[in-house]
Amino acid sequence: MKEPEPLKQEIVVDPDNYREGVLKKELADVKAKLEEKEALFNSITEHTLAGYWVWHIKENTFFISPHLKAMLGYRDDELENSVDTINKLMHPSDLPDTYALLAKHLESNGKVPFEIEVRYKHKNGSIVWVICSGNIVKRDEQGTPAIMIGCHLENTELKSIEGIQKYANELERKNAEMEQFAYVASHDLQEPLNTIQGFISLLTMKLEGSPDSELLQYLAYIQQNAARMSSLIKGLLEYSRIGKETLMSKVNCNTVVEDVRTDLALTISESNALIVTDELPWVMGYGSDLRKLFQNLISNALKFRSVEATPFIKISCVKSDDVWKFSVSDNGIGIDSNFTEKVFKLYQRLHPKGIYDGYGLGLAECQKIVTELHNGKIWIEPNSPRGSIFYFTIPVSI
Amino acid sequence: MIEWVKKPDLVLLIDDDDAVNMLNTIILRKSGLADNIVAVQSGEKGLEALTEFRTENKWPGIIFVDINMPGICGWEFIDRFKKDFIQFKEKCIICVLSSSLDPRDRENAKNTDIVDSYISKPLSFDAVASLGKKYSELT
Repeated sequence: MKEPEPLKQEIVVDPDNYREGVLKKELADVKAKLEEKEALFNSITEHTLAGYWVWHIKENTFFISPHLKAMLGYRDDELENSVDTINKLMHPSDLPDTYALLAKHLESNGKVPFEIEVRYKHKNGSIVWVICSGNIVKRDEQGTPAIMIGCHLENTELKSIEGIQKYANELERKNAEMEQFAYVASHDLQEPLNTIQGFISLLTMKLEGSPDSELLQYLAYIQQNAARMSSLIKGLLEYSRIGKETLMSKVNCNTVVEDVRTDLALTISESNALIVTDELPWVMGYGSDLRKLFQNLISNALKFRSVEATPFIKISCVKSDDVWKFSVSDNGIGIDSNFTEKVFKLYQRLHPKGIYDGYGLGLAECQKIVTELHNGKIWIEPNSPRGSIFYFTIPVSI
Repeated sequence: MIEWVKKPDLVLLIDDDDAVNMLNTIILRKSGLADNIVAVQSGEKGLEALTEFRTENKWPGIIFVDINMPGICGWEFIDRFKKDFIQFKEKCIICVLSSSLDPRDRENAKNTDIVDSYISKPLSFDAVASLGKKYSELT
């Protein structure tokens, strides 16, 4: 269709008609602009997931946009357009504050802004956090507020992130508190124990050469147990300190095992143990803790050796999907399959003190190092014909 | 029995636990390093004792101080010593004697210039021997 030519018309029509034509054109322009604005508004509300409401205050009619209803899990026709709908779906604890703020907003004639964070009940029962804000858009001849328009912005995701952050902060604080607690408790427990040990050694000196042999034996038992308790306390402190190294780095597991072998050289030669180490990978981890891990596993294998065979320990590693699967196998006394989970718990021991020394901390430490610090798994399988295989995994890093 | 090159005329023990003070007194006497030992049960009493020594014109050759004490703790005692008695420091060695397993305490002792030694309780004859050696090196 061809556009009318305004210039030509202007010449032909009389002034009245001319004015009418201009008005019509202006009206069309305004309509077009309005449509444009409406489209913009819809597009904004749609893309920001905002819903809106319109409240005719005097008539108390309330319009709820379909988007707002969708936000709460409802179709447009499922919810009535009324204030009651809001009253029903808003969390009851948030209603009083919302109405109080609304009253202030209206009383102050809009000076007090209406913006509040509230919870709604979603159709599926979950909580939807919403920032609800609105303002007076029209007043009557007396200046009394007549119409309010407002919008609802969903805030649930942000809220849950805030929640997680809060939880993380709390955890961090608790951890620091725990460490402090471990120090204080260990100091306070250690203190009297030290004094006891001091007096025991004085008493032992005084009674040296006493004809009563039982006396010295009793003293030796007291001394042994005080020393044991002291070690238990120190062990607990050490356990709580695992993971204090804050920086992860590329760790060469070959060097780690080599270092551990040097540390354990005496025990290894005394027990005639043969330790075979395959080529091990580099992993992302905490060096000193990984060293403790290998140290505990290897010294366990040496400690629980069988009398029937020379200790043979093999350390290997294979790549399995996205983890390194390490294994430390021995030909020792093995572990009863009923206890393969229990042994990783704090202070758990399977053998009486007289036979194997220890405090039941080593494998608990290993478990903490693997699962908590390196995001891996640790478990035990029986070796054949005898002994155990300790497996643990560490994620493969780039 | 160790032959001591140089023995302090006086030793000051500061620990809130009198059993610890008694134990340390016995060990110091038995080792033969010191005969004249004054033991007090708080940091405040320790400072009072030092003030008294100063007016009587004597000074302990070794001061043992515990860290965890009610009232003025070991570290505060050391700070006050620095403030009020620093001119006497060359006459004595200061030894922190503690049950603390916190590495920060050991670190603290290392970083405090006037602490000569950090010993974990209980005091042993070996520790006394090395302290005696340190004392003899005092000019």
